[in-house]
Amino acid sequence: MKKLFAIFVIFLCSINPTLADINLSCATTNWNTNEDFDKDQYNVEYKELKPSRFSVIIEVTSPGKVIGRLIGSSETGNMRGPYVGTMDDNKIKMNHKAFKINEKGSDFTLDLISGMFENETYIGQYKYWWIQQTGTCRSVE
Amino acid sequence: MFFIHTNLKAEIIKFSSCKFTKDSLSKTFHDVLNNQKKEKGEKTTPYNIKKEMAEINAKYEFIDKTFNTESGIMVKTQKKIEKEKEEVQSNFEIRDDNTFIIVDIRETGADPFYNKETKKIDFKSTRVQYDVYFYYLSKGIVEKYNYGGRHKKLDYQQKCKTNYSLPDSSDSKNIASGSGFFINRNGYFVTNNHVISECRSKSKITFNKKEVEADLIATDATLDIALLKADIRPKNFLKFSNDRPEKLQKVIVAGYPFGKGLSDDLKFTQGIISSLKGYADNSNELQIDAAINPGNSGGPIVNDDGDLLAVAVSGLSKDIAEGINFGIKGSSVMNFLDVNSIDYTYSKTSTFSFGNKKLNKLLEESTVYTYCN
Repeated sequence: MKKLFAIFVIFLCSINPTLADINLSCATTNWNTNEDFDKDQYNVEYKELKPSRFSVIIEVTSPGKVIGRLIGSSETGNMRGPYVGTMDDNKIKMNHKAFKINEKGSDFTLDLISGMFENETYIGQYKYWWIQQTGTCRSVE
Repeated sequence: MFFIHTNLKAEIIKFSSCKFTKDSLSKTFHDVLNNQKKEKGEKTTPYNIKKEMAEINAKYEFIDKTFNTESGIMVKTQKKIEKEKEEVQSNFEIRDDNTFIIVDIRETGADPFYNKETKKIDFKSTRVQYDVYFYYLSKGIVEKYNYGGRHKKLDYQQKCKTNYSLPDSSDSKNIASGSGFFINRNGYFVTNNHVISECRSKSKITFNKKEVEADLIATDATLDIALLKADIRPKNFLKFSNDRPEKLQKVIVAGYPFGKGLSDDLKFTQGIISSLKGYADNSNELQIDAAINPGNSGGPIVNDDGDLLAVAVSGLSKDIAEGINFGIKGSSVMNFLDVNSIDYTYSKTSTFSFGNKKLNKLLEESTVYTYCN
């Protein structure tokens, strides 16, 4: 089933020469925090959530490059964006910068095989993420 | 691994005389002004997009954009009235055959406040701004969107003159095209076998600016000749020359080089017979120096009197040779018609030249553009 999801997403990108948008329905199931984001080790606190749904619209800007918008819901509140990044047949990897171009911002990674996503937010230039949201996405027509 | 292919070749695509057709900022300003008028009890005015765009466009002498598909650089050149010309270069991405995109990321001031020390508006922080420009090549449309959070908001739209047309339009949908010519009044016409051999459906010709289907009657793959019949009565047809072709004899080639992508007008080139043998001593062919390009295939090679000497068939690559082209001799074409029991006509020997007007009329009426899907 998960492989089917990946095949479907790749199929969407391959059939249409005008490069159609990819629409995803996602749900965050974990909200993890790392208080030691400024150190060399993780001190992660994992929190399981009632699934919080949001949507993702990904537009292909050129073969292998994407821009994505996370559309929040009443379960998530507003979500930051847009995210700009790359896509291959295994994953979509995008980054969003909110305040400064040289900050690390937030990394959204979607595994196209499993359908699982991670959205990791950094503070400034610190090496490790501060907040991590994880969950799953499925493709919607 | 993507399966996206673009047919774009290395080329320069030009957008010129760009004019604003939508601008969200002008709408915002208009709404703000209307709100102020409302508060003062003044009469408000509806937003007139044509008037607003005319006002914006009047500020510019020109806005042009040039895309170099080889370097991936777009140069925007614009000049406001009584201002210096501005030139900005940006890298663009090729989204598909018809769309280029520029994703622009920049820092911009946020949370404005009045700075008492500098007595100017200052900003407490910065935000990263994402501007995405879409360039729709065949329509010459530029759209700038602002991406923020969940939103994708159109900032402005421009319409430009463009020199680009989609490769997948009109003529390129045809899998094969070439030239042909009528040999009698019954709608029989001759072309090259290679012009029709790839056709998946019936061949067609353009006759009196209409599409007419043609039936394949006979082919000779070795000679590269095909005979077809359209259910029409042509105004004119070509007669075969009574005289044997001679070296140095003047020849005229008629046809539709590069199909109708170049233009739908019949085109002529001229030259001489260079040799009475074709490639590799082929005695069915003769060599001429008049230009033959793709699309000329199957077109007539005639003398000054409009009598058929040969049928254009091939040429040596322009990379390695110049002016070495070949035609199938009229005598070989006659043999082909004889064995297929098709009537044709010899020309009467004339002692004076035909004249350009008459020759043009004869070739226009007897030469056809042939194609298929």
